[in-house]
Amino acid sequence: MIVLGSILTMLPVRLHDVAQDGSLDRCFTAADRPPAPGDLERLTQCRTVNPDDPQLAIDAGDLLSAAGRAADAEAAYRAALALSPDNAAVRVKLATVLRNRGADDEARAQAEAARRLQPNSQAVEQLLDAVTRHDGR
Amino acid sequence: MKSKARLFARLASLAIFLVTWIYGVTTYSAFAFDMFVKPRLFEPLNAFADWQHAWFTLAYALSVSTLVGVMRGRGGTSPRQRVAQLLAIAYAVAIGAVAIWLIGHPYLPSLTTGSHPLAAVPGALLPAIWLAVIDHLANPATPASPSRRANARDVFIASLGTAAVLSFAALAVRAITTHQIGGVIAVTWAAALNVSVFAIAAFAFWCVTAFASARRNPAAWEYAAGVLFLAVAIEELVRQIILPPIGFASADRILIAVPFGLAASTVLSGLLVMSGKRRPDQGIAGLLAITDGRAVRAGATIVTTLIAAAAALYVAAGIDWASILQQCLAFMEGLLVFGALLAFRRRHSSGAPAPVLTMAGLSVGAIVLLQGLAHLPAGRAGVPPQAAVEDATRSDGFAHLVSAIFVAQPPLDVGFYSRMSKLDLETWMRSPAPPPSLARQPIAAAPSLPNVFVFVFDSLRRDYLSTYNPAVTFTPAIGAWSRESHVFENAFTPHGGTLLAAPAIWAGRTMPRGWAGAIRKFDLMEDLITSLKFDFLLNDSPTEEFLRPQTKVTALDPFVPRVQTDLCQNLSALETHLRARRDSRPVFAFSQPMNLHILNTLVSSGEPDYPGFYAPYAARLERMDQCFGHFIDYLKTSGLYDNSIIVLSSDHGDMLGEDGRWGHQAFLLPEVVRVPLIVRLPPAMAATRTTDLGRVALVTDLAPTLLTLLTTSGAADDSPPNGATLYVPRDQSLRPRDRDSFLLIASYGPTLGVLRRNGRELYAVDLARVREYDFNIEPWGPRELAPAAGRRRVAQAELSARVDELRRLYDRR
Repeated sequence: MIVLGSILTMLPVRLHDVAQDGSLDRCFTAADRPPAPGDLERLTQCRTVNPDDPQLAIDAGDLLSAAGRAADAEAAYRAALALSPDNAAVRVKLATVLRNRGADDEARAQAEAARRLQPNSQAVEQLLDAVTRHDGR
Repeated sequence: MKSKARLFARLASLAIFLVTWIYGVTTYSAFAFDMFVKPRLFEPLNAFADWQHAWFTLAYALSVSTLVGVMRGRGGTSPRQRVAQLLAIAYAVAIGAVAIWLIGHPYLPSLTTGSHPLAAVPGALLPAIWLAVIDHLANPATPASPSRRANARDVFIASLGTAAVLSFAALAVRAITTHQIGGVIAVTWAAALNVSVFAIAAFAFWCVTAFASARRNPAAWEYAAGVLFLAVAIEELVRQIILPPIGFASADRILIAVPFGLAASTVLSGLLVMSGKRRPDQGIAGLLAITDGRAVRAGATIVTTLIAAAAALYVAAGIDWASILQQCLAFMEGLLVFGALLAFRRRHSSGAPAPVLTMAGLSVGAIVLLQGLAHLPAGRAGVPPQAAVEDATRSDGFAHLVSAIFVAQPPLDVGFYSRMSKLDLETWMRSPAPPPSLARQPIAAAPSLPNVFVFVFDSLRRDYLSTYNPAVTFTPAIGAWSRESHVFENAFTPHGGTLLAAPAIWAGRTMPRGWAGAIRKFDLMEDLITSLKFDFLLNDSPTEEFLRPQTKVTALDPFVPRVQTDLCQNLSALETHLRARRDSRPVFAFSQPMNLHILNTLVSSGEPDYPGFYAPYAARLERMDQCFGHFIDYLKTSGLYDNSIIVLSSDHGDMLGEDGRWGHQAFLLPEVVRVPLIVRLPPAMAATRTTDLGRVALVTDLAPTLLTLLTTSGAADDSPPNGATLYVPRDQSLRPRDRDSFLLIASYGPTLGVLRRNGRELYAVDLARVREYDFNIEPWGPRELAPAAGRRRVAQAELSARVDELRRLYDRR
């Protein structure tokens, strides 16, 4: 019994197909450093390979926002928040994008959510004030 | 010499040789030596080593006394017995010389970390094997009688019967203890594995008997094969189950396990022969049959074995390293049940031929099953089927043992594993030295100091607090207090287990193994307490161990064994102290109660039901919650509340039966590494600061946080593996940790992990069990993934980098 078992456990049976090339690894490290301006295409590709990484979405959102593509940036930040709803920094970024396009109610909701995560933060309080002023309240 | 006295003397001498071997094994592995021997965890083992020369002399005297008859030639004058006589005389001379030498040259006390003492391992087994050989030669076999040998059909039926008995027993135990029988897939897998291993065993037996039948003395051949089977079974148990978790490399495992398996099996056979229990004409059945086969006796043996095994497994589950003991118990259980059933079958044998085709078919099916798991459903989406089977069988001790030994796991990166194992062992072998950057720094007190109350509930899980889990109804006081506090949603411990977590919390940084010699030089929390002249109260004995001798501390519960440290008793003592004191200094109280530790929660004591929760744990936590609530009320009524920093956290979580796992031992799973962290600052202090409750926080952040809250000093370095403050002035922002990765180290086993992406990705490798885990920790709970190539490679690279970083930080030689 045990002899046979020992032999069995030594058999080099490959039960698990493991890709041997490292071509996809870069998408798992793509968000390890802050992105450079030219990284948008790479980040977009990587988000399809590694859709679970919220940081890829955040970095893409930042580049899209800097490129003036506010709608795409908003979508990227929303995707990041779906994966990581406790990220106050993303809520602040999303609130800013929303305020810029006039969605003040939702901008205020995002800023208030950020305030719950970063209580007493001067930056968040200022954002909330700005949203409120923008809203005319 | 009467036979019973002779047997007792022999067993006593064998026990001494065995303990010598065990001590030698612990010095073979740096991990085992530093873990068990160096801290004198098992004092009797150390005491034995100190007096080994005396014990060895005693063993020598006892063993020689059992050979007197053989040396005098009383057994007979056959050539075999003449050889036995010569071997007995040689034993008396040679082992006697060793005993005399040892008196002048104590051997075991001279062994230290990683000695690789061949004289003890396998050397200590030599006398035992020598005695067994003499026993076999001095007691010749009686003529064979084929009718008394076990029939292959009987063995086959006994094998299947054993599988059925073990499977049903596991179901019954599970139903009684948890009121559940488990999922259909788990039960099916467990039964399939039990049947598989016994089917293969029966077929192998048939092959042996078929071969033996053609020989001159079939019973002797069969018996020898039985001894060899048993030797291999013991060898596999030692090599694959016992040695890996205590840090033995594969080559060492073979060197240790193979001689031990042979020695154990041969010695057992020798004892049976010497005591006249073995009937050589019974072939293999003589070795394994443990009753005379009468139905009542066989039944009583089986029932007693099952009850004793269930009770022992239940007790063993509360012990660190329980998995090893549980697997050994399951092994013994399987062997005893099989022995009893075989004896019964032999007595009631019909003599019909064995169903060879059925046996062969079942065996082939079993081999295909064991090797083909990757293509079969195992009931855990996303988890490798082999790992899922191992998890599914965890409540069936024998099936779990089978899966651990036979079920092939996914191929792993051998280079990575061997490198990590080596690094892990090396860090155990070294006593790390702190670098200058960690040296104590001047501490300047803030203008006014609040009181500080730190409660680290040992083994507290975040999902058992209403603060984190709305389904919890039994922690209303903590829930209410949390609403007045900062609840860190994403908190972790870098260490599964108190051994490393406690000093890490105090030092404010991830600890290397072998920390004990270094921590006094960089114990940040103690520096704060002494520099700021707090009135210091403490309950925690592991913390006491590494405090500097000159630090003045008031014990909250003197003379209470650590495992019985009770929060309510601590809080009562603390309140009494606060009421009575005339001291104007602020208080710093640290309590690490053990109410929730697995050693206390494993046994149920008539708790009410807590639907969806583990009742013994929830009931204790409910009582703690009441005491905590009363203490908060006291702080409020006494006016201390708004001038106190209050922290509630945990050194680690616990497994409470998830996938059959209990305790924290060597696990770095989400239930163990995710912890609660709740902080309440005095309102005046909170008004000037901000934090980030969604950022990953570690329990190692506590000490640096207190440093920035209580002093005007800042941490010298706040990047991993150092902790970092959780609060900054409100016009600043905390440094994001989204791109940091954090090293996780289990305290009681060679398991390492890495936490990435703000605590969202958790990858861990259990180097002992050669298993890896990959989790996404999502807002709605952790989700285990089948480790994918790219993500695995990146996580492994990150883990290697963090381990190297820790070594560079602490290893200054």
